[in-house]
Amino acid sequence: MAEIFPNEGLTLIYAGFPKGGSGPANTWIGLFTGYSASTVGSSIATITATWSEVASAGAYARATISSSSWGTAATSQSGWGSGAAQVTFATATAVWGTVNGFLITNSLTQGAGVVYFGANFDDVTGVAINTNDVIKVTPSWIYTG
Amino acid sequence: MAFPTTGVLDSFGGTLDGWSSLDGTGSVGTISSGQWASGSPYLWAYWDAGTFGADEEAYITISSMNASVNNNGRVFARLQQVGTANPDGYAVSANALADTVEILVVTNNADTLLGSAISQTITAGDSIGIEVVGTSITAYYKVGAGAWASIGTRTDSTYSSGGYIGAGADHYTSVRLDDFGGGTVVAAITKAGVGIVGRL
Repeated sequence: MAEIFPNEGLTLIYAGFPKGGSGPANTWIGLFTGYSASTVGSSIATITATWSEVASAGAYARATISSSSWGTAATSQSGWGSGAAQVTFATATAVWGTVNGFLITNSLTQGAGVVYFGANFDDVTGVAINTNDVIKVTPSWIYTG
Repeated sequence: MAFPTTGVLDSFGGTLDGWSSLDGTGSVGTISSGQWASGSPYLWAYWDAGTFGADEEAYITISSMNASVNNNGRVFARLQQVGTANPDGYAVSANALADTVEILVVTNNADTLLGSAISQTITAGDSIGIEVVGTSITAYYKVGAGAWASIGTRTDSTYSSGGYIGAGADHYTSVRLDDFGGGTVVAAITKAGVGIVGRL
């Protein structure tokens, strides 16, 4: 399993601390088919270049995670983090392909915006999404010292 | 839970293959202009290709319905004893005159309302659905080409086994139905993952 906060995501985090900017009202979760079930993009990965998000067809759309959905940060594994409530994507009305993980972004629009972070699934297994499938994803994040 | 999780089984574009009378004697209707036309005085039918798993769903579009008379369209799930005078199962029924949707348990071909009727404006082109998961029976409704919405859930344990699904209409030939679908509810794929800043 792999995960990364790419440079563009870290830039937005730095904009909040120590630069004093405000965070987004929401984040949005998407699914990617690029890389593999155990690898993700590098620090320079961007949504348009390399993540290969599921195409905007077959009822695929990013889902909104409101800021309040993210839990209070607490000790998690060896770091400090939180999780959001499970997100249910719309029922696929066409084949989406094999999904290798998820993205947390700053935009609702498929294929757009900045990726805060991307991660494979904990079970290190991609999942083929076919017509009528429903996928639910529970995202979380951790900062380590 | 998302609804529906299964595809359309019959768009009524050809012949009425795959349908049989629910009580063994009633009409299975006809196809008219690519829609399923109600028989007289009623049309109760089940999809006879086979039974489905215990958790089932079914849905259909009400292409036309007379809002001035007491007609209704419905979908069935967990149907047992099909083709006899005493079919059992669950149903969701939409009545355009009353503008209500009812969740019903059907025993020996007789309806019993579960809970109270649900207020819902019924308009031609809307769709109704039923989902039975465990002891929960949920009615779904879709306005026109909009999104499906859960409009009510009832709990009942009378019938727990998988069975047939079906659909129908009654009282008047003004009812036209289209795009029937359903089957075993497809369980969602659940995943989790974590993003990490730094190294564990």
